[in-house]
Amino acid sequence: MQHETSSDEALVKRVQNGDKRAFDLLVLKYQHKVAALISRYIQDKHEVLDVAQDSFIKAYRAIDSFRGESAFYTWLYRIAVNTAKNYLVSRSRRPPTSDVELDNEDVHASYRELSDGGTPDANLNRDRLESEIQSAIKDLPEELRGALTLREFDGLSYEDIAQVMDCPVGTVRSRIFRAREAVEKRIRPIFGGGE
Amino acid sequence: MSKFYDKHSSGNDDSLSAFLDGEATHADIDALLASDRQTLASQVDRYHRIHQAIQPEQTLLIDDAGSFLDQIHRKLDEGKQDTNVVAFPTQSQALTKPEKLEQVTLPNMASRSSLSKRSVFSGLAVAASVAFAVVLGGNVLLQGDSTAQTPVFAATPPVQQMPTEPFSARSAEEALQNNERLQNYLRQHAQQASMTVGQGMIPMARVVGYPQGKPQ
Repeated sequence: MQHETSSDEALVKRVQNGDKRAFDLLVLKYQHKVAALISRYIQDKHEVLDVAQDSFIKAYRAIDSFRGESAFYTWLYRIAVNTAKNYLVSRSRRPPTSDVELDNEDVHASYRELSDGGTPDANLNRDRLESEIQSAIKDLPEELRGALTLREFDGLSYEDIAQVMDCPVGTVRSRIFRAREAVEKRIRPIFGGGE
Repeated sequence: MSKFYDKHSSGNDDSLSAFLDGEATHADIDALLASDRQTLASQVDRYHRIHQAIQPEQTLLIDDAGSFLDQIHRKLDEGKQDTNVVAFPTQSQALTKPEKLEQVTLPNMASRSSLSKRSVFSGLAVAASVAFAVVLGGNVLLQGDSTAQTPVFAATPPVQQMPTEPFSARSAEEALQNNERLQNYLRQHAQQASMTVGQGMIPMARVVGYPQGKPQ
């Protein structure tokens, strides 16, 4: 994950130099991770989003204190955990006795029971969307599906996928992107983007 | 096959895909920074939907990345001050494996009640100690005078009986006379006490040893 660290560091330096757009990229990259982390402490979806936003705001305001001695996400992780705990205390709710360990954090394993309270129509759309995505992935050429699955399901790095698939890293990158594009093209009408 | 995909690689278009996978180069970042925020956010939403479909046990908490980002910007612009106190991790604290945070607990109502009772009792104990010390101190000052059992402060005149006229030469003279009378009284009292109290036996023994006719 050398790329990840260096790209985060580059973005942080830009933010420290006053480039707000660089912070947007960091938000886009880590928003789901942070929200999933906070959902371990707070059950209500709207509160989770609010606390996640506050975490990013605090990170933005404290970004000058980040000197790159640790990974950016490690630093952001602690801000998010502290923000979630303080939120619970401010609501006279007891925070959990143990933290989610960063090393063992299954960041995308949010709770199904964390209901978004969607309407039946919304739930139907979501089910339809999921079904369409599954169908689109099945229809992908083997190379694309393999690369995408190794990345999304197994969480392998591009370099590891390149070794598994015996191809250059650039090819892996291209395959994963093309796979996503193909699936996205199928789901775009459901999103209302049309085409 | 490699050639096929490399040929179809669409330049900067795959930058976001690589960025979300943590595989972005500096060129990718430059390309993304030049892109429209809302377009990127919509793309991020779709990519996360795909991720969710591959791992259906997961729930996406953020449906609209653009809206999420907008709200952050709005709060930043508003300068919203959060009342929560957050200890920002210093670099030394931001370890790869974070240490446990100090557990914050709130006392429940029962413990609050016992706390207030405890403070009331301790306050009463302090008040009782002070009163006891004052009474004892007064008695020590009046030691030897068997008839004077009232504390010293009780002998002082009430406030309304204090002289209210301004300080003058006459009152100064009275004060001097009073002081002299007090000194005489204390001297006599000390002499009497040495005769009656056990502690006074030693001076008396010394007196006995002096030649007759020499006053002490």
